[in-house]
Amino acid sequence: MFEHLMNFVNQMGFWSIGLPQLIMLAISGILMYLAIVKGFEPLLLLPISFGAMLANLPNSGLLLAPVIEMINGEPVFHEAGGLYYWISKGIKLEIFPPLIFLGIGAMTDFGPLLSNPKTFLLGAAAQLGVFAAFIFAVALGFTFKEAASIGIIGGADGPTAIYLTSKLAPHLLGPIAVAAYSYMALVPLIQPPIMKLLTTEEERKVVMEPPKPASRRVKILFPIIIMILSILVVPPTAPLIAMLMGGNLMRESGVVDRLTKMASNELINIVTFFLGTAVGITMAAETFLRLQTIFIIILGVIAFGMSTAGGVLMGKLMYKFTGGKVNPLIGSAGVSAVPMAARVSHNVGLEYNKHNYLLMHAMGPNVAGVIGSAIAAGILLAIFK
Amino acid sequence: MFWERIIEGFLILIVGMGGVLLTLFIYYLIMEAINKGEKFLIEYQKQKAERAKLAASKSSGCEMDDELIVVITAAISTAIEKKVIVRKIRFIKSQPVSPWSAIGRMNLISSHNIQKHQ
Repeated sequence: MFEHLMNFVNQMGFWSIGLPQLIMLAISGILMYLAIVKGFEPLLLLPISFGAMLANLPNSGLLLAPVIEMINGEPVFHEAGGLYYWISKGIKLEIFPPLIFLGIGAMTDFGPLLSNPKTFLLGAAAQLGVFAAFIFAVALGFTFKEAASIGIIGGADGPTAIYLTSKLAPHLLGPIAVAAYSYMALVPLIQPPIMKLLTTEEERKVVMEPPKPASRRVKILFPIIIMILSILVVPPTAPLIAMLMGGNLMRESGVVDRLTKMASNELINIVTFFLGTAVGITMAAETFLRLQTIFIIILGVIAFGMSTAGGVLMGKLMYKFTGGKVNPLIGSAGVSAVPMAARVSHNVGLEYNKHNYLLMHAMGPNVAGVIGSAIAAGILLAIFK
Repeated sequence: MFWERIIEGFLILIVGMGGVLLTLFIYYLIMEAINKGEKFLIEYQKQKAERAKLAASKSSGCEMDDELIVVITAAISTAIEKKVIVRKIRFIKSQPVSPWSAIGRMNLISSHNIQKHQ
């Protein structure tokens, strides 16, 4: 009787919990607070913080590897393995981020980009932060692969950041995902000062002509062409671009409503929860509480700032070349935090001209940024893999 | 060692950023070309529809010759054995009908034979 009682007491987590775990539980609590009370990217920050909490509760066995013995060539499971050992395979086997992209493709209207294809250039210029942060990370002593994973935070695209990091620097997955999603939520605070610093009042007041809507035929051709070209030019980006464009083709074809609804609702919701918690569970105290994490948080904000600056500067260039027909403020939307970055461009524009509606113009570079960050990730993978 | 890494990093920056810019610039050119093609196609279809409309209005009687009108009037006059004045001639396109509908319609018409008054 006493022996059973002692076994029960000894397996309790209280005896294994230390100060690092308590600090991580506090950090998870803060992230949860930001998600629930402040509404910072709650769809991902809440599952991530929940996963981080699970990761720092000792003896849970959630990440235990299975014990398998081969008997006569057949695998025999002695231990099935922890729940998150298996769920984390969704990241390691590159399944979750592409599935999220399928849902994003099914939800995204590329119409504003197609009616004004010039905005592709803004989406490209806004990837400057990815490569600028890469240089800073190299200077701080990170390896090239780690620096590439940190740099992709500047793409402001969570699934792309997770996809690239899981391939190049999986040990940094937790801090990079947290930085990426935290800064995406902080876009309304990070971007406006940079936008105002780089533009004149006259430029901010520019009213853009309403674009002509793209036809259904163009909307259907677009995902097919972009998928073929992207995979031919940057093959490593295939899983992301293929799923993004596949989802969009389903949406624009208009003949598979059930599949479109499935991808943009049930599928993306389920995968978002598992992706978030699987990322959070990598945030164990021993891997997260390091000086590296602080560097990543600082480099993340540099990446975001430089990406915003890159987009705005390209916007200024287009303003000059078009004789003042393009408002440079829409350049900042080239970071792919959809639709937050486009809303920021719109709101800053409204501050200077109450009748200036930039939202739909800003959606063009915004969705171009999604393609741009996937291409940037593909190029980094092609260089370092 | 440090500067070597930084220089290599800058090369990667140039290759990476250049690659992204070039790729998206190509997409811009392609989509611009597709938009132009689409505009041309829409314009062509519009013109084609207008031409077809014009042709239809021509064939609908505006330019029917007098001889044909006389023949049609004579045929009607003979059939109903009365003097008639033809005010309007309209061409009714034959529409594909099922055999069942055709037989039903024939029965209906034959049950309402015109009474000839002597």
